[in-house]
Amino acid sequence: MALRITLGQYYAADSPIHRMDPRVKILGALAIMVTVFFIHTPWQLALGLAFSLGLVVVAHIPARSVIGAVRPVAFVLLLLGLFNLFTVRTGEVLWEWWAIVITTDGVRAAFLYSLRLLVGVLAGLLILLTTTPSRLTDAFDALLAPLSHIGLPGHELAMVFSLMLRFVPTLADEARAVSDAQTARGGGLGEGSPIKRVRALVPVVVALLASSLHHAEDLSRALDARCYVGSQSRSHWHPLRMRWSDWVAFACVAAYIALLLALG
Amino acid sequence: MTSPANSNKPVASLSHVTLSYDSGNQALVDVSLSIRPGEHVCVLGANGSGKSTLASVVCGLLAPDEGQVFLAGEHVFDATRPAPVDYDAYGRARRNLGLVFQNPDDQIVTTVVEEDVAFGPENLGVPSRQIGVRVERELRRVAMTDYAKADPTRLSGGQKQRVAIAGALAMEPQLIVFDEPGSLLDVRGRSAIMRVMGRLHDDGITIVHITHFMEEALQADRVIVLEQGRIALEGTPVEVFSHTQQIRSLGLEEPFAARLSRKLGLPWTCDEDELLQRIARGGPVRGGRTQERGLATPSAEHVLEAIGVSYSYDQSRHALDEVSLAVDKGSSVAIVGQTGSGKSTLLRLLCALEEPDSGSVVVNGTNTRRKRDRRRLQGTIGYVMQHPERQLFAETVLSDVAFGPKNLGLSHDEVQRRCTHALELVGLAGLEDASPFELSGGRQRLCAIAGILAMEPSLLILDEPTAGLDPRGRRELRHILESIRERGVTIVQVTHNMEDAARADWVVVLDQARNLMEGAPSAVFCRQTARTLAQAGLGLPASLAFANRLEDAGLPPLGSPLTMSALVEALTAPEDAASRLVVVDDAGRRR
Amino acid sequence: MATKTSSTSRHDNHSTTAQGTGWSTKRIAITALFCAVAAISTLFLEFPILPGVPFLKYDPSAIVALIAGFAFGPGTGAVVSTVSYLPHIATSSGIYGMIMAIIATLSLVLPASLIYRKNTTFKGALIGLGVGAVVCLACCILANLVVTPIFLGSTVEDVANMIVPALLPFNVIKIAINCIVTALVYKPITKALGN
Ligand SMILES: Nc1ncnc2c1ncn2[C@@H]1O[C@H](COP(=O)(O)OP(=O)(O)OP(=O)(O)O)[C@@H](O)[C@H]1O
Ligand SMILES: Nc1ncnc2c1ncn2[C@@H]1O[C@H](COP(=O)(O)OP(=O)(O)OP(=O)(O)O)[C@@H](O)[C@H]1O
Ligand SMILES: [Mg+2]
Ligand SMILES: [Mg+2]
Repeated sequence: MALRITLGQYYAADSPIHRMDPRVKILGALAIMVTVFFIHTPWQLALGLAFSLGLVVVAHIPARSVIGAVRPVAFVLLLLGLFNLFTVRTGEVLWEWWAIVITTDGVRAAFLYSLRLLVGVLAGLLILLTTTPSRLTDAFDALLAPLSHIGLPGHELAMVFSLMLRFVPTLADEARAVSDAQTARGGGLGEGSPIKRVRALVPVVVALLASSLHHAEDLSRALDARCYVGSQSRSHWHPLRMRWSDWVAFACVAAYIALLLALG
Repeated sequence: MTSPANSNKPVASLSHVTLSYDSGNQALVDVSLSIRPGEHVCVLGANGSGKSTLASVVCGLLAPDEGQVFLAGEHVFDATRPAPVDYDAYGRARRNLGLVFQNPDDQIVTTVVEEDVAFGPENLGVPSRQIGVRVERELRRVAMTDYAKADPTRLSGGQKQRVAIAGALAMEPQLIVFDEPGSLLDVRGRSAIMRVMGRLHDDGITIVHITHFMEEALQADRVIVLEQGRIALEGTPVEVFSHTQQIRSLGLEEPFAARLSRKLGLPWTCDEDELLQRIARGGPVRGGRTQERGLATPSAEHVLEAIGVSYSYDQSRHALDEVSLAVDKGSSVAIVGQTGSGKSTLLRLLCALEEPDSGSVVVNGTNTRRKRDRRRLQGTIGYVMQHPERQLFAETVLSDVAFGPKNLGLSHDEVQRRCTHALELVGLAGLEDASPFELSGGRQRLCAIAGILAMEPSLLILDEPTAGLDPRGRRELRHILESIRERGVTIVQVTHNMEDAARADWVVVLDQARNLMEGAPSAVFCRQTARTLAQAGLGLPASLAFANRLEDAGLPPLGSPLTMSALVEALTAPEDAASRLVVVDDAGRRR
Repeated sequence: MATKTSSTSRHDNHSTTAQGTGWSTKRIAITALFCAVAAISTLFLEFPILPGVPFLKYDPSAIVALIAGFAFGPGTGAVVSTVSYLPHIATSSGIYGMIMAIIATLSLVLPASLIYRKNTTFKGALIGLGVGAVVCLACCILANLVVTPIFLGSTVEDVANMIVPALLPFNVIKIAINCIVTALVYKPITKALGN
């Protein structure tokens, strides 16, 4: 069981990607993720993979970390590949047995559509590996700030996001402790029939929520005691500032997207 | 002790303050209090007596219902004004007030230590350059500079707490309130906090310190004792603790020296050094031996055995490394060790919740390697987790307690019988239909423990059951465990309290995932092991530490008195046994 | 009570900060912790609904969002339904899983908590859950028809063919579990919130 979960699995290193303004990083990664769905040809796929793997290299992320992080995704990609392989019926038939038909289009779709997701996954991974959660929050705060103008709680959402990242490991430990305690009382989440598992959810969910309310009580006391009153009057220790290298990064992503669309 | 240089205008002053929560609980009743600059005030009181509420009022986080409040020179609250709460004044006052409280986890708001220290100054709008200066300075002050870039969730409790203190200090407050900062920490963590506090006091920062540890109160200039929201006692530590009867009836206890001096029939004092001198100068000491406590009968029927157990959560580090342990039937075993030494992990393995990576755990003759066996064993072992009140979930106390017995598949009547019995045992009879969430903190813990007792386990495993309880709560819980033990239940408990450990039959010391020592309390806690224990972040029971100091002061060897009664016995002359002071000891009853 | 704050929301009393436009720290703290519990549920408490089909996982995050919606209003419910899935962008489910999860949770939580706000009784909660379930089912299927083809690269017909054998049962089971567990959890939770 993956017991101690860290969402901010930051990999400390000094690379151009690490130094990049987190706002640029987030927007860039989002752009790469969205344009993944415009990939329809092998050439586009090659470009996408080359670009995202190139970024990984520039970020000095060791292959080990990347493979470790991508491994759980591999299973999903494989399933997706198989799905396409067996459901696409157009194109030349390569092999046929009973109800199973494998066609050239199927093979193509299997590779194309699963591998293109890898591009998006790598982009998301890079953000988490190269940005500390607090820089991420700063960027979030800056990007969500416009929401405040239309009456939505932009700053608050950024703060909520950051506190959530902070509390996930703490509450994960607690969730484990509570589920252990209930297991010892014969009602754990462990294994069993789905019905049993659903029933076992009740004690754990209630206990976790009740205790998170206690934490919230204390946390709000801590925020008050440290004079947190929204972001109006806050200063920043490391204020976000766009440098020329950030503009270059911006241009790179733009060029990549243009090329991707041109190849389509 | 207030330095005369400071202006004598109080940093905080409350007059006739009353505060009730929506639930109708009167948390503060007519409290008047004024805190001078540079003063070190200690607040004592039973669980639920209103200490934390007072802390919040003093820090400007809660506005009361009645009375007047002045904080940091601002008139923030006045019930007679049309708008009692002056929000702007509160805002200004809060910039000069800091708060550090019990659970370090809840006060750390970011995932990098230095960023967390910077959080306060950022909120105050301090310019970037100065923030850097402050962060560095405060981390140095709490000796955490090496951890500036660390992830706080990976630090030990004591280190986290010091980060929290640095975070409060970075705002340069005039006054800091510490709300039980050490109650979840081990011996080393607690003494580090006390050292930091001493340094702050020397720097002229006003300190309000809430604690359940009476020894800590002795360092204060003034002690305030709360009882159900009212100030029951106030004065210097000596004045307050001299009200012996009242202190006890308020659910507190006297400091060590006071108890000892009273039992020895010496002039009352709560100053250990003074007592030491007096005894060394020629108290009624004959020197002596404490009789060895009979070791647990070597019947050697192990109900629980761990042999060379290793376990790790991730590849990088062992949480347990070749740990061994054997528990005799009917005995009580204490496991001690500093934070992160692997105690809780060991308990999880002993409870058959997990299998070890290598080595084996044998419970009642069954190896826990097979999943099916583990499942079967889980019903027979009672496991009380750290902060068991966090496992409460049901609508009523009764249904929460009945959860375990029901899962055992018992008949309705049997479930009912066991629940009633368990609730009686912990003293919650009559509260069956209350919601567990409406109980007080101490009772919630007892309710959770009842839920485990109702399964009538023959082996009870507890993880720091007394953490965060007041002296009375600790005493009550000890009695409950004692009475369960008398019924033949084997008890294994993790504790940070050396006094509790000394009361067990067998003590296991863990350090950095390994067995450091084990043996009868008299073997583990003695003069020779003091250094080793200190290096492992632990200490000696107070009686033994005091006996060692007496010997250093030239007294004949006193043996190793682990409890106060043993110390008193060693100190009083054996011949005139008739006139020997025999006082009924609440804590160290020998069997 | 002597102090009267401008807001009567249950997030605040005895407050010493003026109620401006922003959220109170209490509200931020509660929302963040509910988000954390929901995020943990998706990562830690998930299990396969049908034995032998390991990738059709159920997780109780929607229950947490529902409770947040009931206890603190649709706004908080919506935030919990959204923010807690953001970290998933970098896990196996990726942006697709994130979008689908957000749609599924929001469409359940919003109707349910809006109805509950009008009628804050157990019955109100049940009606809310019922309506939420129907809306959610519709939204899930619609979202699958729109989003899945883009993601999988398959045609809308392919997905439509899967509605009856796969999507419908899976989503019905999931929604049913969410609603049933929420109903079971409702009473003790209201007690826990009480103090
Ligand atoms: N948020 C709250 N809502 C309602 N009642 C509360 C709240 N916080 C505390 N109380 C009640 O107010 C009283 C005083 O509580 P407080 O937390 O100040 O006690 P304490 O002395 O700090 O106790 P402990 O030693 O357990 O920390 C208790 O009866 C408690 O149940
Ligand atoms: N779920 C987990 N995942 C990864 N590492 C863990 C986990 N739980 C504990 N650890 C690590 O294992 C080691 C032993 O932890 P454990 O909780 O057993 O210590 P402990 O002696 O009980 O400490 P404490 O006195 O603080 O309760 C610590 O270094 C801790 O950081
Ligand atoms: Mg308190
Ligand atoms: Mg522990």
